[in-house]
Amino acid sequence: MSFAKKENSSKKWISEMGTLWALIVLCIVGALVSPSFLKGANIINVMRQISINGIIALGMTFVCLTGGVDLSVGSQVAVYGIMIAQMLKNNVNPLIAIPVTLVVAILIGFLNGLGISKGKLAPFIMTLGSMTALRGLAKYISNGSPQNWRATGIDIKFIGQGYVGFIPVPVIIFVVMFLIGFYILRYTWFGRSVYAIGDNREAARLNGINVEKTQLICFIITAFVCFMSALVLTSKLSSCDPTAGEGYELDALSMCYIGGISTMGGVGKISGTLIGACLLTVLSNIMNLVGINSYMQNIVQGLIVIFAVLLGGISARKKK
Amino acid sequence: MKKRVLSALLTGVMVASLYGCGSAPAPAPAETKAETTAAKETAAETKKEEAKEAATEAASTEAASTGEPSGDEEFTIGYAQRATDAAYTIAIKERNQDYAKDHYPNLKWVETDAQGDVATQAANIEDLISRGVDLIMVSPLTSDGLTDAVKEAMDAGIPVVTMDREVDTPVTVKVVADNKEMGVMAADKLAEMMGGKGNIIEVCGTTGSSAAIDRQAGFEETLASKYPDMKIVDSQDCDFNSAKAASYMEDMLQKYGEGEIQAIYCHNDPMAEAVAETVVAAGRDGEGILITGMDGEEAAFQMVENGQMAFTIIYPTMSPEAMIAAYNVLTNQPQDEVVNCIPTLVGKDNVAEHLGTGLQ
Repeated sequence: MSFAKKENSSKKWISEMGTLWALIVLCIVGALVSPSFLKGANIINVMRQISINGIIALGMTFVCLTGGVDLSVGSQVAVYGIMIAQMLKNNVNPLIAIPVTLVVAILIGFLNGLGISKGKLAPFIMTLGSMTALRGLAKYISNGSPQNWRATGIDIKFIGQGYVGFIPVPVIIFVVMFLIGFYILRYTWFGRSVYAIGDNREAARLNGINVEKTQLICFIITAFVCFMSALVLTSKLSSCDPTAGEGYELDALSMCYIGGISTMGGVGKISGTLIGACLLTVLSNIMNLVGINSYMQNIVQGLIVIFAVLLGGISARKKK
Repeated sequence: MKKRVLSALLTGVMVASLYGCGSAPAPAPAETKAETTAAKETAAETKKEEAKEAATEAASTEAASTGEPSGDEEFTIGYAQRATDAAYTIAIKERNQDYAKDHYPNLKWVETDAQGDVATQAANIEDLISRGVDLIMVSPLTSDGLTDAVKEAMDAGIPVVTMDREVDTPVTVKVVADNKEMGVMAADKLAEMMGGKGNIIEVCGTTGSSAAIDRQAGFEETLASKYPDMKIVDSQDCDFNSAKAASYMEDMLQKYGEGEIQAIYCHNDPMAEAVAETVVAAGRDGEGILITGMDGEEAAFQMVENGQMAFTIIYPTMSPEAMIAAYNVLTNQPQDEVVNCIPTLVGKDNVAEHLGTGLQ
């Protein structure tokens, strides 16, 4: 076990550093190919774009570290976004609408977690089901149409579009959530339990870790980050599509895996996820600035995920 | 339980109509009517296996309307809805049926909902055929998947009216609208507003979807042939999705500085609305960038009214054209085989008359 841990930690360190180098190279390329890339306004723009998907990836990191996966995050974003939009459209006070949505989010996260921890369902299966069901729910409550509350005059744009000084509010939300996640994973009993479960579930149980409870909490965490992301996204656009968040689960997973989180769990750091999130968003920004079409963008993004994980694995084996 | 009551009711109605049939002087039409009711009764029986809400609803409204006495000749229209998860498909149905309620009280409806599944829609049409409806109105999900089912209906002698999308077999009437024409209209109107020159960003719908292909082709071909000084400087597939459009536009506003963009042509309204929000958020709304959308959402009308959008073009909801065509067919009145619905451009000057009528 101690041997395995050593191997894991060197692999984790190298893949994280490798991704950081890749990010730096990418930024240099970006500066060379597009004069707009390094401008202050664009950097702030990219930071804001990182926030929406990045917030989800932060929560996904917890689930991935336990060796699980949450496919329902995109659909959750749609449900929470549509709920907020529809309540505001009906003139519900945001101070009521937002907490109500948060309660629903925690409930949905709880149900996801319950199916996995108590119901012993594989996370993939449970969240595959809830992904489909929640997407249906979002379409059902919105009648399939985008919801907006522009007519009511309610203004919560500050959350998605506002600034504190020159820093966009979503970026502040993202950074604060990152720091909390970082602290929890590194310095708390819960955080160490998350790693222990992903590393060896049986050993964790024998060491007195409540595996079920930890898993349950991880899914409540993803539900919470989806709520935050939905809040930022919806307030930014003053509306929400029932198709909002489609593909976010794959974005979030890509960010985690690029950042060096192991698919088996137990290995990886949330700072890796942060770098993964930066890498993917910067990449998409550069490709947009240069005018590469979206098909090509998908091809590049897909290849990057494969190579990032591949390189992480190779350098870890060499080190060993 | 509910269904048992329903079938009892239907049986009652059937017996009653048979009785009425005996005393009536002209039995021919009444008898066919009785037969259809009988067929419907069997249909209600078989439906016990099906847990489809839509079908049950249809059956119960039908029971209610059968109970009412009516002197006029009655027709049953089978409506094969492709899905009820988009404002547009809902609008096609509701607006046509609302028109029917006001103008043709002697119509009855049997509705099915395919919920976005091609196989279900084909099966629904077959069900409608076996129920013996007098006419089928259908907005097909895809041409490939529905062609056989529609052909079956036509072969069975049931007239078919297709709406919006088409199938690859002759139908009684097809009611269509031209996305390409919308692209042409947008190009012409933008040219007029921009004085025939300037830079345009095109925010596209899902590539490969017929709407995106035609909206792009109509627009780009018109620019190329008529307005050489209007240039599309950037374009991207944003999947008809507002979040993607917003994020794309954030990047574009970085790439193009003040005065470098004159217009943003979006393939649908949700993307146009998101683009307008993004332009405001970036503090670029003072430049007078012309943002245009398509489809005819209420939210877009509001943005046109307050000046955030330049115009939108309403994609017709095939109503009441489809309803009128169906009624003409049923009552043997002359009817063209193709009805082309004309898109409406909604700009600052005429938005007042459209507010309140948009897709919600």
